[in-house]
Amino acid sequence: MTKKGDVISRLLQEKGVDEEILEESFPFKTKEWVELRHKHKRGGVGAKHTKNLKQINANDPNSEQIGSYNSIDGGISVKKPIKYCDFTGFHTQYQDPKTGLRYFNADFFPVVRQIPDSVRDDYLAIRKANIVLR
Amino acid sequence: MKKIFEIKPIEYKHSPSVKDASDRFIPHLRPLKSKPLADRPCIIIDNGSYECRAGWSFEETPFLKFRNMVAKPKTQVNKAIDAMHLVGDELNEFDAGKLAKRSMFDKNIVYHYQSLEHMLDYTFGHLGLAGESQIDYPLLMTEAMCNPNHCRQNMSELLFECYRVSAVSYSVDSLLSFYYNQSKRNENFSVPNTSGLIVSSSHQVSHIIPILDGQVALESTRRLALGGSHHLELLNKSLNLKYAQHKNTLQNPDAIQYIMENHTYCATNYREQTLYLEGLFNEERAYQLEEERKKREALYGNANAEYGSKEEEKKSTISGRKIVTAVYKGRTQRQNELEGEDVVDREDHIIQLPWQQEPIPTDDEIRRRHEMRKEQGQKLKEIMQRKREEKKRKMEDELADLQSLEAYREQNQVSVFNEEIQNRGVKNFEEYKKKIRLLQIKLGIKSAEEKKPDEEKYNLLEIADEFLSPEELKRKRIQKMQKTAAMLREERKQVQKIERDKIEEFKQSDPDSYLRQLYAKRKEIMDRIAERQRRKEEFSKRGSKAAQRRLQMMAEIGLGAENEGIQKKRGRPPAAQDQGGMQQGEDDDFGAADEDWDVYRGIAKDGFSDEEEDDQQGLNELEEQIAEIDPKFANLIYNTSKQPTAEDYQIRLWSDRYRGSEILFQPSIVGMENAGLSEILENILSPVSQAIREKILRCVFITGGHTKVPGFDKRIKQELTMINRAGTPINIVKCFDEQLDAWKGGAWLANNFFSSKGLNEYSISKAKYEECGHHYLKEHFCSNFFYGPKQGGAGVMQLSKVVSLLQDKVQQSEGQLKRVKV
Repeated sequence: MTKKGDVISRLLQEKGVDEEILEESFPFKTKEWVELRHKHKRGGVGAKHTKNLKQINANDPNSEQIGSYNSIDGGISVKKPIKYCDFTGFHTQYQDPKTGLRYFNADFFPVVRQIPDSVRDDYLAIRKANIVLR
Repeated sequence: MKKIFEIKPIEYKHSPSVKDASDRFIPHLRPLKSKPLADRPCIIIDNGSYECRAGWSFEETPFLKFRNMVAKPKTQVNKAIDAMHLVGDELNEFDAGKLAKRSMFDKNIVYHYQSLEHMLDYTFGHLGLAGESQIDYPLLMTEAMCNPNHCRQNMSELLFECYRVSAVSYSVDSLLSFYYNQSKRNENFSVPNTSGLIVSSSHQVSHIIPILDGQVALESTRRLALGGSHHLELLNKSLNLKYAQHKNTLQNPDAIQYIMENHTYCATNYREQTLYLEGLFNEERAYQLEEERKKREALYGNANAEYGSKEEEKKSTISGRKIVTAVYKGRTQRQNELEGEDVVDREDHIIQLPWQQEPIPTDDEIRRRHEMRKEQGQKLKEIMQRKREEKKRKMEDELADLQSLEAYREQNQVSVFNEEIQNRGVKNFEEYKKKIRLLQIKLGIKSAEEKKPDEEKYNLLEIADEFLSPEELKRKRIQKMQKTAAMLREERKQVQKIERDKIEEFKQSDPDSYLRQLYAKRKEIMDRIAERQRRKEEFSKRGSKAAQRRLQMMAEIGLGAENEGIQKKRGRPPAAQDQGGMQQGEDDDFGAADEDWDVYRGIAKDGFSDEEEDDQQGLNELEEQIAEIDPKFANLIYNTSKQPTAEDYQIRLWSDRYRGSEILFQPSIVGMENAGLSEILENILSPVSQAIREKILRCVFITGGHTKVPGFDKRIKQELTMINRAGTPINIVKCFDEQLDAWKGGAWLANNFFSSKGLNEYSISKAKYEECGHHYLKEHFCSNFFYGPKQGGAGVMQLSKVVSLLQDKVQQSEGQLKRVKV
């Protein structure tokens, strides 16, 4: 078994970490690209802002066209969702008006009532029924 | 007995070193380097959001296979270490707490290109290219279905400008998997003849892709933003909420991962399965209640069967730890007889979490501890005794000292006496007498007066008032009072003694009924407490009757003073009109009488706290008495120091086993409004003609990491059967290997199609990239389609060629139109 220090020194060597610049270096990367990255990292002009999926789709001028990411979205369900107990996952028709939790039968009612608010919110968060104050 | 499963720890893999990789690949690659580009081997990277697999096309399986994560160590000591970026299995070398992990994926697309760069650094380095100055090999990269142009631009930019890759081919992972499987299964496979329906479910998203004659029917392709990670999340949340006491084990993601991989499945018929478990649950509950009842009867007898430890009962139900062996045996047997051995395990599972047994103390140990405690008690007693004696002696000394001063007074040396007592902190004679009396009482010495017999004590009572002086009369009155008080005391003592004797006798003669009486009393108190609790709760609710009554009362008090004025205003005939004028200016005298304040007693929220305390005290006393007589009761109430058993560390998976995969079919379980897979399938297939349906459904291909869940294929078949006309042939094809098939498909594509001229057909060369720009995409049968403005240069838009599943319908409707026109 190798010691931890050995592994780390191996990794340092593999990644070609320079002791002075403190940067990884690989021979197969072009110098221009690495320098550009370096400049961007230090806050130079032209650094690309990382966009998340939502921003990418919002900025896509052709998002209406067939073949775009939005075009194959599955759409919204038109069926009535079935209600299940929050604790057991069984079918139920009972919902506690006070806490909003669904429960299977009378055995669970005292549990529903005694549950702390934070736990209740966690249960509701599973089916995104909790109220989030912003 | 029901089978109990255990959690096995997941073994962490170690990343291969660059040297190993070089030793492995460089001998292979050296002779190939001089060949033209098309004949060189291809690097295949299946860049999935869960795992990344990378390897050379001349190998059977990918050499690298790692979780697609990039991390930065945060040692804050060694700057060189902090400058590194760790990829995949390298993460396992560090403590999880000292890492800042990051995934390059948002849903199923790559958005964080810095992380991708680190991942590619690692991948190329570990594929034997560590010494090269550029990547002079073709590269096949997988991407998501309908990858946005923006992402592909960034990817191309990185690959060509940073690594100078000679040619890049983009493909879709599920298409690769599909065609690879088709080519292996059909002897006379050709792309244009292949039709099918791909149902893929991966870590983040699921796709349904119909394929007609070797083309993706893009119009009918659909995506559902749910996958394995959501399954895992649901399982994690529900188990952690249900078993908060096993936080230590269950908050470890590895344990949840293990449970998901080994204990979950996809229900073929969710409703039926749930009903089955409901039945099981109810059966068990009924059995449990029966057992509890029997136990209680054995404990308290029939009359008091109503009140047991209700709390305990409920707890055990919900954690569901009590297993009813008899029920189970019958059920599993029946199940096996009905459906044979080859049936998906529909039962709930019990999982044993790791735990450590505390050593049970031996008898010797217990005895030793007991003796030690006894010894200590004895010592303490002795010390106390010594202290008491010391105190008594001191008091006796003081008393003797004080009494010796009496001599001065008797010798009429009052001034000396006063001086002496003032030296001892006593002011005057009165106080001196008091102090002596106090000391005498404390020491148990009776004063001269008390020692007198009753006749002397109450000597004045017998004498008629006329013969007494006023002084004596006063004393007589005091004596009278004292005598009655003493007599009452005696009487009360007598009564109490009789009662005690009675109870004692009752206890001796009929202990059972006595016990029952105690239980009844206990129940009474407990009922009272419960009732109070209920009332309190009602008060806290605004809409409740109790709260309303309280409000009403408050309003009445507030209005009390103006009551009559209001009545007058409302036009009611006032009872006493002549008083009205007088009352108008009069000050209201509320609070002058003490009774007025009683009204607030009804308003006070917790006005019964005194009663509560009394009840609690009474209950404690009662329970002590009961415990004295009934050892079983003592066990029931005070048995808190029980040793934890293996059963306490078991968790039970009810619907959790199949609920996680059900989210694909019912996204409403996790609160999403999206259509589930079955609804999407229905939407896709409903406008399609029967001929094309049959063509597609002949090969329903299931791929993707999350479809490893047992029963997934059966479920899809079930759903498709429900949608389609009876008798429509539905053929479900499972891929060979859910996780590696996309990579193998890539290798298959590279080996069979990339030779000589083919490479240009399937990939973007470096020259092409420089000519046409970063958004250029070479389309082929496994790739995405380019959308947006026309591609520059030689790139031809193929979108016009996209097939539609509705072609028959379109032709039909056109024909109908023509006929109408004619």
